[in-house]
Amino acid sequence: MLDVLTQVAQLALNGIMTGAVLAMPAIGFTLLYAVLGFPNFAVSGHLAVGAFAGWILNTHYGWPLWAVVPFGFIAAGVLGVATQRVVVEPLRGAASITLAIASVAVALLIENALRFGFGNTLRSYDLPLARDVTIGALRFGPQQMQTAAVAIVVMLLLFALLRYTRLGRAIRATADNASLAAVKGIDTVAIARLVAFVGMGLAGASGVLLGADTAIDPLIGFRLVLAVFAAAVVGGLGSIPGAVLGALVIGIAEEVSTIVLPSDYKSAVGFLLILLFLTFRPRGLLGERRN
Amino acid sequence: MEVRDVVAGYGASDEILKGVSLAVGERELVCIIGPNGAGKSTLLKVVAGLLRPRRGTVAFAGNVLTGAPPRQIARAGVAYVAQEQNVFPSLTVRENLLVGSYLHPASAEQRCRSMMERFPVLRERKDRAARTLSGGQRQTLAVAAALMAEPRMLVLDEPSAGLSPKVTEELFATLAGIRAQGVSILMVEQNALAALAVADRAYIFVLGRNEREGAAAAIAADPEIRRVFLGG
Amino acid sequence: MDNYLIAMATIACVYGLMTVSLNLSWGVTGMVNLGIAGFFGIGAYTSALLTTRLGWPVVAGVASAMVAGALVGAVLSIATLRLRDDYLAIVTLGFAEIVRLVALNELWLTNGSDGISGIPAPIPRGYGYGFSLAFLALIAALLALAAWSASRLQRSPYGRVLRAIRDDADVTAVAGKDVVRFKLKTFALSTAIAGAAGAMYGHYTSFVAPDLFAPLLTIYIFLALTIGGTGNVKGAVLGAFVLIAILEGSRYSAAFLPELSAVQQSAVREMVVAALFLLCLRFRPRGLVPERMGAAGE
Repeated sequence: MLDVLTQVAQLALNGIMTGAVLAMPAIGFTLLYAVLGFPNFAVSGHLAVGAFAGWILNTHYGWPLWAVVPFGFIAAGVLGVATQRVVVEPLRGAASITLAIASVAVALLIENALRFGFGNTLRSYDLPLARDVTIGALRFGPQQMQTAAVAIVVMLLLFALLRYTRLGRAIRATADNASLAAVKGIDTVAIARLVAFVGMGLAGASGVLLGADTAIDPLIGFRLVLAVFAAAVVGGLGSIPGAVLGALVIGIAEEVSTIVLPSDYKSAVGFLLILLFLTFRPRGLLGERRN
Repeated sequence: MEVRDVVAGYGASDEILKGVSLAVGERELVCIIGPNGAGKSTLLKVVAGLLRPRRGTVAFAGNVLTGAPPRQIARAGVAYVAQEQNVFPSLTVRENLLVGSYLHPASAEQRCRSMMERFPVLRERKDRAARTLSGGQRQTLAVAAALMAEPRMLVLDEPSAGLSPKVTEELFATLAGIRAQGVSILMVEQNALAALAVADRAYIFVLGRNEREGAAAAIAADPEIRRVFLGG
Repeated sequence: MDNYLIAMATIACVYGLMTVSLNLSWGVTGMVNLGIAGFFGIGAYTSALLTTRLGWPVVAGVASAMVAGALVGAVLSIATLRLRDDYLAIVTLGFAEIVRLVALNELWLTNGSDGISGIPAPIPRGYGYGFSLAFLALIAALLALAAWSASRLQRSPYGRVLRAIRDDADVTAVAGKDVVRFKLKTFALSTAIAGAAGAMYGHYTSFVAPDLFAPLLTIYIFLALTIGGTGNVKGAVLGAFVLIAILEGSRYSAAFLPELSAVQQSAVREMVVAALFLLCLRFRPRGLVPERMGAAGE
């Protein structure tokens, strides 16, 4: 009995760590949705770009993880602005669903560009090995803890930016009502680009963290993307605190599900939760009722 | 503000405005009235930069602003308040005011305080999300947020829509006060008699064209206009 | 006719079934199916398993594939019918992944990544050239049937209403029960057609495996539909043939880049497809056969 409890506690702990990393691309996805008005499936490709950009710096130039994370953010963010300008902006006025499909094509383009350059082989970051820390009966992986800490710091920074700065207010205002924001003098096109930078940057930074924790290949983002959507939908599409909460729920649910399900089906858990929430509580845990 | 021969519409083929002109002088309160489909709101959208006119010009304080983006028009000193969805629902009352003076960040906090002094309903609810406000409170917030931009001219689309007569009266009294402080006002109003009572001059639009114009009092007194446009 | 051309025409007809399916859901009701590859997979495996394991006749296998496609389509759309179309996009995209996951991992049922081989054909394969021609005739007839029923549905009174309101999610949200039920039926019919496409593909090539319905397949179909023109059946079918011509053309041009590895060649192909799709959206959004406006009271 105690064993089972310990096992569940350990899995929940792992789930929180997973959720913390998942929260970053989920925030990116939900932020992009709130401001640009369509589900941007290209987060998967941008996540992979961040992972590879970080991998190059880490393995070829020996940069430590803390220095690589911001670089992954910037690489994916710059690419995000580029796709915003080249793909999304020219399609302005198209139905949101058209933009969503276009974003799938963007993801395909990016992932295949990586495949062209790096092949399908798994690669890992070059990081010092560290032994697990044991507290009571629970094991903590130092790598995972570091990863979760970085994720939490990034989220707090983002939260502060959105809540307490003039720029953050402008972003939230644009998400609420873009034409009203323009009337107030806000450059909404620039805000959309900034959001593309931040949203895709978050995906890129999480790509580095994931890569450091496991291994990378061009489909690293694609494999995660279902969990990212699930986090955003469970939390309430468009809500940033919701994305964080949703990511934790998905992270824990995925880990705990391994008690009864083969671990290959982890990503099916996210899908089931999406269906459940859309059927019974479509606005998610923290989403707003949209009139 | 000088609008000349503006032609505009939404689709590729339709023309809602078929050539309208008007002028608003400094410290003037001008009101546009007319039946539904006359193009009143469409003209305000053109003035605010939300709709590019097909022909004609819009000039303000000597600058030609025809087809300029809303941002540039805001910068020129024109503040537009739409009929609906004129506040940011998920932002708090205070945040709505601060975004109102987005172009004047230095004085934003101080103006925000004085605006809340002027409108106590807003001060009492300053940390509530705007979506929780009642219709009248929301309209007050929309006007206050527009004033945060330190505008030289206020453009209002049906400010009294959906408000009770008492709240409408208060709102028009507020507008008269704003005008007295040197802000010119252009508004479209369904509630024509109440609007004419506070306006200096008025225009009547019919089917996208100018029909009549004149001093507000004269228009309100004209028996034919009363019969056709003012329902009495 | 050349054997190669017959084979390509047959594959084009399989893709044609999927573009007709997508056109029915997206072009007519605005419901976007980003998981069409998943329905293709469901159909392919249903029919393959029933005919190889239980010895069912091919006709019964294909019919079951359509029923399976329709049932799953109905379940997925029920969850999202009253929500913005974005949600259906997320759900269907995720669904296709789940289908692949199951096909890869349930070895006892699906043989994992090795796939299922030895799937019987409705016509004896021993006939060689005759088999190819007869199969082409069969699938062309099936495509014609699907196209015919789709365009009938499109021209029905409900179809016209849906077309008029398809870009306006708010109107759909307040629309009555009948419209919601009609959307559900339309979506289920479209996923049934996708299931049939998967089943026929398996009976044609005798082999199905999980990598047949990677997300790339969905993009192929969207590309075909965008090339042809959303909202009309003729364009959908035409788009599928143009798509096959593009894919085959790119296969030949890859031969001009012999210094590239196989992985790189396939990466280039996929990039070309994705880029073409984006270019089509931007420069020819209404396709080769634009939908006639006005008929729906636009």
